[in-house]
Amino acid sequence: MIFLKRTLPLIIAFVIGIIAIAIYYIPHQTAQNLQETLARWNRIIASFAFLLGVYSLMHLHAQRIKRQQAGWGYSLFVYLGFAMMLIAAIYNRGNGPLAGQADGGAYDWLYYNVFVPADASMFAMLAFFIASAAYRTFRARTIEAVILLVAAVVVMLGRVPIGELLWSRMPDLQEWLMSVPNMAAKRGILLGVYLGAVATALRIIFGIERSYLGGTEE
Amino acid sequence: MIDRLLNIDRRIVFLFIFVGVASAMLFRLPLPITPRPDVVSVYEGIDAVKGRPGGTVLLSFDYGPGSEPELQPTAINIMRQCFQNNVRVVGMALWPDAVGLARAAFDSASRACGKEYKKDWTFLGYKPGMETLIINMGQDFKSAFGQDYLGTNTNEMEVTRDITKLGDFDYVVTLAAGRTIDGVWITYAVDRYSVKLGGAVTAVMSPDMFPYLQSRQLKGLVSGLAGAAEYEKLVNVSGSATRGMQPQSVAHAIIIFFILIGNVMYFLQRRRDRLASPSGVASPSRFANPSGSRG
Amino acid sequence: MTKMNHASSRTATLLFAALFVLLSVWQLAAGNLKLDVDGLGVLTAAGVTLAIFSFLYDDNPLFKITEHLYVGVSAAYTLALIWYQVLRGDLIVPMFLAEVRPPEIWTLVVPSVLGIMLMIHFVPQVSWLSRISFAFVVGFGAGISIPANIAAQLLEQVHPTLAPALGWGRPDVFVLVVAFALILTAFFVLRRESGQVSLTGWVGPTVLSLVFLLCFFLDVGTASLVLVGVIAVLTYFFFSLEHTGAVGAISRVGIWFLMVAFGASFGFTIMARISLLIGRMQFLLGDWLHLL
Repeated sequence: MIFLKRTLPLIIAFVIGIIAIAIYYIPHQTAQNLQETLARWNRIIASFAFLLGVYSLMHLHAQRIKRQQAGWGYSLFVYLGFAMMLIAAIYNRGNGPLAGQADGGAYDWLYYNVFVPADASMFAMLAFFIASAAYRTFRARTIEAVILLVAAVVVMLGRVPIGELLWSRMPDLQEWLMSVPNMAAKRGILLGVYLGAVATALRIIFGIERSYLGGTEE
Repeated sequence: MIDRLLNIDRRIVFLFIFVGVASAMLFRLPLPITPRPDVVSVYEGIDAVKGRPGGTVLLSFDYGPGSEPELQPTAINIMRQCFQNNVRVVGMALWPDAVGLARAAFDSASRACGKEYKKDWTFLGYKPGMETLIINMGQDFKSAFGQDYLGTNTNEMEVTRDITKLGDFDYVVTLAAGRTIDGVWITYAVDRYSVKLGGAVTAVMSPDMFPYLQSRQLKGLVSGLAGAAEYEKLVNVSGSATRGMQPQSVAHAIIIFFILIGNVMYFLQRRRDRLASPSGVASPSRFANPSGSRG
Repeated sequence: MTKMNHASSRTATLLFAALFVLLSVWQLAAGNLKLDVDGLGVLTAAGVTLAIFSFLYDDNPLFKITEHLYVGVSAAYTLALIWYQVLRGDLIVPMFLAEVRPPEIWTLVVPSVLGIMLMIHFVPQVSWLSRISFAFVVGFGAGISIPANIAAQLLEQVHPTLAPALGWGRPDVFVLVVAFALILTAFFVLRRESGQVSLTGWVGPTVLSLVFLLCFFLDVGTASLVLVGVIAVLTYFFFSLEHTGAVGAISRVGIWFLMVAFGASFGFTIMARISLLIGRMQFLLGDWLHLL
């Protein structure tokens, strides 16, 4: 049983990982067909993972309601919103869920008038918080903070028309700052990040990194 | 006075931002908008497709409603540019949240330019998988997208009939709010499937894209709302992005003012504490905001 | 969960609700909005926007109700999309509803079984079966990422950093000399911090800024500056070596480059957030209140 629960998944990850690396370099049509098939399987399995995510969310709120935790009443609204959207999706303008997705209808109405404004407003609020944070915490305490502050101000002025009004070369200075020192630093970070990503991927394939299997038992 | 200013209620700061942005939107002043070279590169890349028989551009909608003000105007203007030059447009989404926005963009642009669905444009919809979807599209486009969003077979549509793989598209533009542009398109599509890639990204992501611009993996870049306004200038449209530049400028000025005032107050407070302290050294406990303060 | 300040939270709810009602009634009375599908849509969107914005005053029930509604709607939206675009289109129709079944039907059965195994993750007795599906997905993702990342992210980034060196002229050599001088300066600053040499820490960044301005105005030295910057930043992130002596000096130069990059990122982040606010304001002032 230990073999099935722990060892078999590691063997599968290793074999599939090595195959995926190998077929990247093999130009033969069979290898390319295999890559295409495995990629398609991966996509289909990924869509089931979405269902897992939705179930997890609903389960979390169900537990909150069942245990009457603080704020459990709000979890009812999660179910209300979910039910409204799901009914609209299943109704599908009278065509039902087995027909192709219909254009327009309650599903689109809820998307454009509830989902989009709520999502956009959540992000729009950040403008206020970032202004407050900039006022309260952005202090030029050290030399490095001064460099950061000057770069930020140059970029903020250079990227908008007001910068061009203040000094005609401000946009050029901003662009040079982005294309040279910023680019150099970002490239350094990028090289480090992707070296780490390659190392992590190798650790996953060779079974050193097992956190994706979840759980600590067996 | 200095302490009160430094610990001001954050809602006052919010009010300044709100009033500044709202008043800049209500009272218009013409501001110069000069398209930058990276934005011009995207425009010229799409312009180069004009005149090619069966020239088709792929737009990948990889953003959600949270990034709509920055990327939606660029999407619509790129489509308009393509339609005006009789270039076909195929859309797809790597983010599920983008589907409705993409459909709205196609509706708006195709109606404005009198273009026909299935003949001049189509929207393929969303498929999960990110890099695995790109690999599928790279080798067999029709196996990745057998049907479009409305269920029409891609073999039956004039706009996608001759597309067999990703490299058949003359230009690809990814409108990205996340890591799909570098983690997916640049890594898996550009090198392997010889894709000409242009990008339109949110301003947050823009600084990270410059290494790819320099290495020419990314052929051009439209950054945020300012980039969208520059693109509108190139396609001779005065849309929401252009109108957004005035409040953007005012908001930046307000925030720079706040940062400067904050620092001036901070240094004045330090100087005051240093002069007041018997040892002539400012006490560090006075620098931090009291833990009970808001924001 | 943060505790709500009741008075402040009540004020937030009442204030924003009153604002919404008054302004909506104004627009309906003025004939700018009608009580049809589109008009109700605009009113709903405005109500949702103001409810979310009420959090700016204080956390309050109106915000929490809207937030939870949004979570539910978002979950069902994604679920429906996955059903129609993937499960129905790529699995159910070819396997059960197509007039002619495709010959390679077995290639759909295998991932379907793996997908169902993934979903039984929440059944405690057989949850271990989901590990097989996770192993397949993670193993394949890790496998394809290795050659792709090495080619596209490592080699393709190193090449344009080093290649311009073949065409270096005098300005690039000048930049290299200055970089060496900067490293020396940083070295002395580090020595000074240990009490050995008296030299202010402002010298290095000031010299660097002058170099930047010279290179900008004269439009020279870009390639060498990039090379210096990349090496300095990589040296900073190399924590296996102690940052003392020459390594410490080079990493100090790397920190200065990083500060420029972080400042630029901060500036662009502010720009992005303001843009999102502008989008919402354009909706509220334009589509809802018809003031634009």
